[in-house]
Amino acid sequence: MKELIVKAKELFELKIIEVLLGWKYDEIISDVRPYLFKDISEIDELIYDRRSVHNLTNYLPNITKRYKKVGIVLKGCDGRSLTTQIVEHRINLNQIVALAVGCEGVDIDEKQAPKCDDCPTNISPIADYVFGEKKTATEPGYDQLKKIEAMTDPERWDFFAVEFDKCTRCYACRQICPLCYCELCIADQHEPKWIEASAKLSSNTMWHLTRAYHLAGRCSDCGECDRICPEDIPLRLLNNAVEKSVLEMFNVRAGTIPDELPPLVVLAKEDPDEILGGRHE
Amino acid sequence: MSNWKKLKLKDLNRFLDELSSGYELWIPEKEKQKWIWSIYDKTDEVQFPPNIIDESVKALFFPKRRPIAEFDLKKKWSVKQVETSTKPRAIMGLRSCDAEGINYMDRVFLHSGYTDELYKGERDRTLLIGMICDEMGENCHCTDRNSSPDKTEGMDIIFKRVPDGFLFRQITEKVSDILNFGLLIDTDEIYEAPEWPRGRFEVAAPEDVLDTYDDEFWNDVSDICLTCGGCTFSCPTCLCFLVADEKFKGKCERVTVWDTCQFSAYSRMAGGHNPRDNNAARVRNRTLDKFGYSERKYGRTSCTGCGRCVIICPLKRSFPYIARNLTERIKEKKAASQGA
Repeated sequence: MKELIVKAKELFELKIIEVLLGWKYDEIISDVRPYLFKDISEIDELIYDRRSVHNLTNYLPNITKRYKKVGIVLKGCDGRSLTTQIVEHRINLNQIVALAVGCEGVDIDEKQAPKCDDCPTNISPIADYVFGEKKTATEPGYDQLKKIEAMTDPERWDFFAVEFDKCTRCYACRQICPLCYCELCIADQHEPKWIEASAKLSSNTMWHLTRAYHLAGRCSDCGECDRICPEDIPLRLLNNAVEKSVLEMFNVRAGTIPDELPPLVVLAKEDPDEILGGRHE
Repeated sequence: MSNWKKLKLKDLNRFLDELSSGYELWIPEKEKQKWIWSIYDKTDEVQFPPNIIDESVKALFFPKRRPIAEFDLKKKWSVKQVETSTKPRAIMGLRSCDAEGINYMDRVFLHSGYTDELYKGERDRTLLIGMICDEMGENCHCTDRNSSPDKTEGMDIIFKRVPDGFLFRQITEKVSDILNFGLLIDTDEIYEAPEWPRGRFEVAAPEDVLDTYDDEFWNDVSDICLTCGGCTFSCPTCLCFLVADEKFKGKCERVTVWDTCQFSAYSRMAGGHNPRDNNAARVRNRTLDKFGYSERKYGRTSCTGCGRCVIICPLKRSFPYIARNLTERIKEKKAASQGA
């Protein structure tokens, strides 16, 4: 990733960017973690490799408030979530300098992340500079989801009941999600109380299903919620189920095309009738 | 003869069987990749992890959802207070950091002017059988928090793993009967405390920490924090809760639910004003609470050095890390002011 470091230094020197969001190796935790580079002297520590699993776009709204020009290193899936955030006016594209890397997949616990098997684009759709090769898109396999779909309804309920019961409602899934940014989250509202605050099966189920539906057509499957859940709830399954329906109905994978509105935001003539009647006959 | 008693490895299950006949026995269990607390089941193969159990023992005294009263909407004046079970309970295999956490919970729930009856009930029925860690874990730093893996304070019994079994020693008078089980035999072996590593996450004195309230540091450190509740919910000494009324299948309950200062909704007031409406203020609040406010209010800093927040943190850049940077910052500032 020499070119990446050279380019980053150049951008700092020319004052095109004030800060750069990237990854750095941290000796204390002996792992790679997100880091905000504020000075050109730090850039030599910039790292991008298979350990750069984190989606950095979620930090942009905060950081763009404090700095006018922000550089960011983007993988394919991160770029897709950035696209949606720009369309939704969460982030101003004029403040961003996107350094897109040709992602070769990332690792979670030294194994390739499951999301990488379903990746439609290894290079960010938004890119000012590109480093690395573009790979041909793979058709999503949704291997784990297919196992769930093969279950009978009671089996499936039993499976998710065990998982949802573990939830402590720490909302790490919400906080890490770049597309979960309502000013007042439905779970935080008191009057009316849509979702009860306590962590128990009924309200946990309500919370996770609501969140999955709110991400329909927007979730770029960056897999962050699934990775960080302290209780290891397989949240990606929910997002994948919704993503798969959107793909079947609208032939859209969220965030792959810049400037295109999410399918559930627009009403188009070509929209399938099923969205009104539900997918199951 | 030493004041330790020995349990042979092959007798462990018989010992636990005997113990579980008189107590509701909780032991660590490995579920998938994580250690959690579960009730001892005779068919279990019992193991004790070398250091911390991923799930904090907090939840056994102060669960994530805790009913405090039941009521019936149709009947007037039908409020019924929830009572705790009185069945004796033993928690076996908790560590010095867990005991420190319980010590802090006692200060908050029992000795701060108000007694939480439900907590007191759970506390009174519980026997703490602590274990000395085999080694310190990757993120452990209890030695930097005035403690060590072999600290026995707060435990009723302490035990230590040795190659061919376990060494037990009684700490309090609460439990004379258990160590007299026939399975425990007199021994000459004693536990010798090793030199535990320290110095990784040292923190400055409370007054210095509180001095940093207006420092630019908090903006820098919170750039990348998500303000999720992971660190607070896994923390053995984060005890904030909210109270809610809930109705389910005709039954109404008033419950306490874990809450955390890391959520923006935590400090949101009626009318919408939020005094802590940015990440920096929330991260600062938690840090100052752990190393400053708690010292003033309850007489001790509340970080026990268990390191669970580092394990949970999505960015692996959690609290001890912030504390360490803060301490460096304080040192720098002091050096600068002395130089000037």
